[in-house]
Amino acid sequence: MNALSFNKVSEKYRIKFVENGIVSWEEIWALRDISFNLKKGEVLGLIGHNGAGKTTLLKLISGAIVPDEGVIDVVGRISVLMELGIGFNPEFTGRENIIFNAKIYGFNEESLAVKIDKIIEFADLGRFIDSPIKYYSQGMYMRLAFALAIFVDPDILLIDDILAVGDEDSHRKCISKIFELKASGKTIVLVTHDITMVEMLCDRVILLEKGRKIKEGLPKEVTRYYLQACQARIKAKQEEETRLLRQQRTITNGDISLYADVESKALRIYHKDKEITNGNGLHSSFLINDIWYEFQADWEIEKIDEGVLKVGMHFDSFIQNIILTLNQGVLEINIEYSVLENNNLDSYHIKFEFADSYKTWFCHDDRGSFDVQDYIDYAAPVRLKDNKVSKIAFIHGEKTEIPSLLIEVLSDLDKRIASLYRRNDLSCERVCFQSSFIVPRMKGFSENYSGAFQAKINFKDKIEESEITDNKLEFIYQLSNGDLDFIFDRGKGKIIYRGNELTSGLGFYTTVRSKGMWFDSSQAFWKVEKKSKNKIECFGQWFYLPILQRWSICVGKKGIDFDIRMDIPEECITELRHSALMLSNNYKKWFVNDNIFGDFLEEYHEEYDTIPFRFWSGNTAVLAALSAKKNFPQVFFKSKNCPLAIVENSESIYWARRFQFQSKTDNKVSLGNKGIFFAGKITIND
Amino acid sequence: MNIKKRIISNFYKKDILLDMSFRQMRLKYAGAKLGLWWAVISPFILALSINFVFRHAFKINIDNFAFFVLSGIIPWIYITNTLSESTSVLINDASLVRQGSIPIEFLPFSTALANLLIFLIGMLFLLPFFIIIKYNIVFMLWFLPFVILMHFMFLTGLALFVSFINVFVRDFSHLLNSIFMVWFWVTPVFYSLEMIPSSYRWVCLLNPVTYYVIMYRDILFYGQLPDLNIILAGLFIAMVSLLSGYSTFIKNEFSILKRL
Repeated sequence: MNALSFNKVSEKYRIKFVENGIVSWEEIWALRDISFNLKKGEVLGLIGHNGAGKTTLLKLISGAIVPDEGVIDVVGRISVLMELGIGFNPEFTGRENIIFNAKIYGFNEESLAVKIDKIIEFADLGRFIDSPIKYYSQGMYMRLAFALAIFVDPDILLIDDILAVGDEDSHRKCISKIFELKASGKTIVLVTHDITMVEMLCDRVILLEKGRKIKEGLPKEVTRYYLQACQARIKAKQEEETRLLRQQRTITNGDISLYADVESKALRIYHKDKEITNGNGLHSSFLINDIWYEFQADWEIEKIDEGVLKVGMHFDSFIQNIILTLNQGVLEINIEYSVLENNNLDSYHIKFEFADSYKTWFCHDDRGSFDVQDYIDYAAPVRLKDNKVSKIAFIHGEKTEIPSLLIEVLSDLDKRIASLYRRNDLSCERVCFQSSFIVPRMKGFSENYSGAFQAKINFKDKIEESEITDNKLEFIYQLSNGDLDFIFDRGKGKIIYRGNELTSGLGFYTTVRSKGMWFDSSQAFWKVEKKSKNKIECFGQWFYLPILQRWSICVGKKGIDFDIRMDIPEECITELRHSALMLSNNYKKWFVNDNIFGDFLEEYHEEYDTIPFRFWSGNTAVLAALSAKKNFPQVFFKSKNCPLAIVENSESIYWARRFQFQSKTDNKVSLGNKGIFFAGKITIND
Repeated sequence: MNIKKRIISNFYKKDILLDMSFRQMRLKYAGAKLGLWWAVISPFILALSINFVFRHAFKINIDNFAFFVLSGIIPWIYITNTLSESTSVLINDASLVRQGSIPIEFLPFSTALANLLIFLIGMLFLLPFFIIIKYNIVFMLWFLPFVILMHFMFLTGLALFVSFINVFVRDFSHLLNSIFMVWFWVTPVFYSLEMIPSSYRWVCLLNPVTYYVIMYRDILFYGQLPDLNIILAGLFIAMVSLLSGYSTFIKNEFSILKRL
């Protein structure tokens, strides 16, 4: 026997909207075409999102509202438990309210007298039963309402999601009572968000969505479907949110887009939806007061237009504002940074990490691959001949549509060291370009640390080697005297005789070893103080070490005089000091004196300071190199102050011969050591 | 037809209606220390103040002018209270209706009934004073229940109507206050119909309340049976009001339910 039947029931509401002061009325279907039958003694669960029409359906059953379309048949007395405190008046006591409401349900005095004690007992309100309801807590309210609804002995009990109110005890009590009612054969319609309760209690479940019956069936089936739909909905919503958020943080130009990934604090570049950066993308790291900072910043992202993104990064002691502009296949990167007061910046790197599908690289005088294996802390360095190079091309390995990259550093080319390496931490392989700011160790020489970094990345299908000319002309000083030229370039020098370069690799340079690490003059920051046609005076500040060197170089007709002085104003351990000259491998023989001479080998090795690559070391004031070729005259390298000389081949990247004059400092702390570092001469003899 | 069925089914629920009316009456004075006594006290204070004003301040020389006014103003207050309460009763007590087991018209019914009870209590306490003033009104008191019944029927019809309107036009409760102002002055409470020039008298005669006030005053103040025309007019108005009010209400029941 059907206790309840719905036949194509629809219900609409007129809803008032006040939008920007304009009032409009809209008709909204709360329920659409609902049909179902409920047998006597069955328990029906109604589930669905808020606003799906569940409560409207209960109201229809209760007769509180009448359907606009369709027919509803209800057999028996209905008791409704919905919307807290229904029919209760706050001014009356609990007892008065019960009596009044019970009468509304049609109980006469006698049957009420029997019931009332049971109701009061179940509601468990103590003395409060004779207190006006306005003094009740929400839980007490709920218990009273529940007690009333079940003890009026309904044939059909309608329960709207009110059981969530109340403490654990009363909640459990109510639920067990509902089970009791179910066992005694009452018909129950239950609206709840509590899926476990639906599964435990209901015989059948209807899932409503936007007023329509989506699914009807056994509880397990319907709830599973519902939960899946919920998850899908949540997921879709999250995805949409992520997409929108991502859009706000992405700039696009053609196939290239850049996304500021706040989660991993990286700027990522995409070519048609495929990421060409990897790992940490574009990011920076710096050392302040002996603490490394990399990803600790708070980001502030502002999309200025489709092609311009502004990212502000605020660290404890450091502020970095990045403006990224994508235009016609070029990404321009402008960074302004400043160190907050009383903080010491010791190191500052800008890092670009790209997918390891970029296999090779080249710059104006150098080329190579990223196929390196010597990892130290997940990073394997790729050696560059010129560490102050400003333009490097990354070439994609496979023949894909992914563009090659031309990375170009535009600012402070005298203060930046470029390095290439491969990384394999974070479970991804990537190839990296790093531009490090030379932060002089000597605080007295640095102004305040604020400045700018500018670079651009050109995305091109093809990059020709001829396109790359390094922007370093302003830092190159040519000294000339007759046939002899000396070209000074930021801490190293080339010797050119009659238009032919005699040197190779770094040419003339100095180096200092401290705590096992070599610090070359080419890594220092150089300032030229005086320059005439054949003379230059300059000084360099080392990064990391408190070392200053002053070079005076004078080019004569047949030789170049060097006067190099070093100042170590702070405590600093230096173990070895070299002044070195790398010569072209066209020189085949070396010569110390009539007894000591030999041939250079044609092998080069990373461990160049071991036999057989170190050909000779000993005390002498002069070293000479000879070549059979006409263009390569004899070269003499003379030292006035360093007696220990070394003859060797350079490491393999330079393919050069190397003469060194060395002085040892026996691991002593050098303090305030002002004095001659190297005094010597290079002479050319036809 | 429908109404007939309805009335019969409602008749079986008359206990609930009575309960609701008592509840409303108690609710009106709930929380007040003097409670139901206010039903007596407020007309009493009103009578005293009217007496003072018209006897000592205005020196009007109608005999017992205070009682003249009182006989009209008490029914008037009953009207205003009933109507202003029934405008909001559907909205305030919507929760009772949603239970679905009581007919929705019981709400305005119970308001009218509750106010009738209060009116009766007040009347009961003031009646001795009317008798003291003019003892021969005792002979006419047998007609008073008929007047009250007609008055009640008229008012119930009106209460159904205003409660229905207010569900759809919420401004109505505010409008009602203004209506009362005008209405009061076209009702012969402070004056008698004879005081108005006969050319304007029709304004008062268009006002249905006039007939009830005249009847109350004839019985309570003059101690005479009202004019037959007046009685018939009062009865006619009461029937029209109740029937039209009730049928309008029933006809729009569904839309009322939906709007609550």
